[in-house]
Amino acid sequence: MADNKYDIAGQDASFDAMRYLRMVGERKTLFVSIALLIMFAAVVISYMLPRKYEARSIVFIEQNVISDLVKGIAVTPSMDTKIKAIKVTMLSRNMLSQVIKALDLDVSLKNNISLDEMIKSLRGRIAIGLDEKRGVFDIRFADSNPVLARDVVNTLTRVYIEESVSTKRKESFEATRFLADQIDVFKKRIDEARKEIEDFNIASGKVLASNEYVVRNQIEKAQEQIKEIQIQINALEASRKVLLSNSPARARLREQEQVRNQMLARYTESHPRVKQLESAIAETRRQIREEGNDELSIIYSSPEYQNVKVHIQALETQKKNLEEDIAQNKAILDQIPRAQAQLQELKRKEQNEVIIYEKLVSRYGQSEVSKEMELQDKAVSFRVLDPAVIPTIPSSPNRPLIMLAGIAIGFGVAFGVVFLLDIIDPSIKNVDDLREFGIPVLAVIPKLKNVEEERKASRRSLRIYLIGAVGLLIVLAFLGMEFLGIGLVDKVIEKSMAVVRQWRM
Amino acid sequence: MSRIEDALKKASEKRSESLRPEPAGTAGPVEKGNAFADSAQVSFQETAAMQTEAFERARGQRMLVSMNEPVSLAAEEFRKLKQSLVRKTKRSGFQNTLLVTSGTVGEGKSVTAVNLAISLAQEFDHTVLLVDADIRSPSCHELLCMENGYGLSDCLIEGAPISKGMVKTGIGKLSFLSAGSPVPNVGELLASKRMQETLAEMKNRYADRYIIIDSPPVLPFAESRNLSRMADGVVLVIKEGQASQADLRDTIEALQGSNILGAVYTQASRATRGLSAEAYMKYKYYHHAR
Repeated sequence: MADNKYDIAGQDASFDAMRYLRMVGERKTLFVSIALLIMFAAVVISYMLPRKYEARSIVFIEQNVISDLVKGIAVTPSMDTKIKAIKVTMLSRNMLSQVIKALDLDVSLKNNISLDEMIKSLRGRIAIGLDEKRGVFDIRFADSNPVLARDVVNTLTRVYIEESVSTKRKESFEATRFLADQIDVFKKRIDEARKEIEDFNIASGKVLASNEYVVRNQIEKAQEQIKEIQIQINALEASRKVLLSNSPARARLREQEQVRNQMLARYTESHPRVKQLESAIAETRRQIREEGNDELSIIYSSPEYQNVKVHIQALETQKKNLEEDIAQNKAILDQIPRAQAQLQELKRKEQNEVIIYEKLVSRYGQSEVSKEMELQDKAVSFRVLDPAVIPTIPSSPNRPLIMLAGIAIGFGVAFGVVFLLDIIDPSIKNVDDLREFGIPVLAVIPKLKNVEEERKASRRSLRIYLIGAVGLLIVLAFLGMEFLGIGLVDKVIEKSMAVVRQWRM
Repeated sequence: MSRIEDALKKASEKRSESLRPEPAGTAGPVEKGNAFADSAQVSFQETAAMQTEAFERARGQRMLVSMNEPVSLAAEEFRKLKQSLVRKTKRSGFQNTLLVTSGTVGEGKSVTAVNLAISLAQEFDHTVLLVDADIRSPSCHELLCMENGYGLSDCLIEGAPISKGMVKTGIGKLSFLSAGSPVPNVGELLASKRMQETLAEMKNRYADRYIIIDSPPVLPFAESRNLSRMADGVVLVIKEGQASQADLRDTIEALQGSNILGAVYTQASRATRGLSAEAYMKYKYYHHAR
């Protein structure tokens, strides 16, 4: 249709900006008033908010003495845990109450409860940041009174360092004392070890002194001797038996038996001669039975027999002695390795104690030196890199930021309201809306110009825009002042407050 | 009928009060009840001086862009409107009564109607009659810098032919029938059989004459709904940023049964129109003016 050939510039994406501008233009009064209201509210708020000054000190931490001293001997807590402990220590009740006392903050306090409150509030407001990489921590505190802020930070830093230095002193004293104690202990232990070795030596000296080879030789020799003695004993025993069987009755019996044996070779047993002999033998035997003892005692008391007997006895004793020796030697042989191992063990123990003892002794010397250094303050483990100074620029409120945010939010909200109104507004805003109804658009007639009215309207809109621009400029001026840190407004406020106070007086 | 008589009385009283000194003789022939044609002629002649004066004043009326700023974008748009309407109305016989209306008050019906009428009247082959049927708050006469004298309501009440109230504007072949005296029962008056007859008479008097009827808004009042069915075609005027979509829907619903020829979108802001066209027109205009 030729009727619908009106293309609408507002529909084009490139004209979106134009559309928004038009929206603003239609409701410029609203837009400017909202934007300015929010901006000025932000400015006022930024001046109304209580000023806070933040003081900050930076402290450098060095490695702890004791950890160097007992490195490799004892396990000490790591740097990280130490740094973490700093935070806890710093915000401890003891520290904070010391700070409060040092700064006479407790003058106005009534009782312990309010002191607790104060400590709690301080704890909440003191910020401790740790930079573990650089081994640095910083203490920050913000207050409306810049001097107080500085004092709190510096006092806390001082108190903490004093505390930690004194504890370090104590630590190094304790370290030396600990080392001394340990040295004593180890000395005792070494002595004990040595005594043990001595005792052992005394207890099993024989075993330890004897040579295994020699002992074995001795055993062999003794065994040979025993053999020889045994032979002698056997010979003597034989001669003793000979002596015993040499009584007359027995000799007769032996002869008779010999004869009988010869006879038996020739005759049977029932031979009369044999029988005769048999009875003679029996007779002899009876004789021996009846009179043998008398005969034996005669033999016993004979000097030969006595001689043999004594000889045998002596040899027996010798043999017994030798056997005992062997047994003893065998026992010794068993004991030798065990005893030597035990001795080795004891010696090693003593050696260990000695090594630690020597280390401790050398460390003790070091610790003496470091203690001296501590006492002369040559080894400081805390160094205040940056003591807090009186902050001149308040840390909060961040006025430039609040103002900038005010400007941004002002424009944003104003535009948002305009945009919303535009969206809410159900009226037909362009020709396209008509197309939905299926009515051909025959003509699009622009606003008919009324020169007078137009002039009025443009003057009015110019005035509105001017007001907006001036307002924005004023806000920007405030912003610039704050940005450059010119405290002009604060001075004016202070002066006017003073004037008001005077009036009230 | 008594109400009509009351209205008649009131109207005549009002008229006698508001009579201007210059056309002293206008009341005479009306009261005598002369033949319509004569009286019409007389009134035409007698008001000639007044017309030229009005014409001169109309020259300064900025709303009449079709007459006073023929090179402007608005005039151009009215010409487009005229052409498309002429094309549409000649398609199936000659439909010469056009009702200009809108959903709500103040969307630019009268301005559109007057400018459309002027635009049509400037063509040589059409005579145009502009009827202001917005009796409640007539405004066409103001735009044309004329008086709201003896007009439509009076003609209807008295049963007089409309030629009695018709006035030549001096702008091309444009005649104007003003709204006439205010009456209490506008709705009934415009829905009456007499109105229908009058309209039919207007339509058929001159075959090539366009009749542009300015009307009250559709949504608050009932008259336009009737008028729209009497007229051959309806031109819907829609002002940017005024009527809501729902209003427009209601309006179209209310005008059902009539022949909606199309819409005229008025008071378009700069963003809606092509900026380039604007610039071009401006350039052209200044160039032309030089």
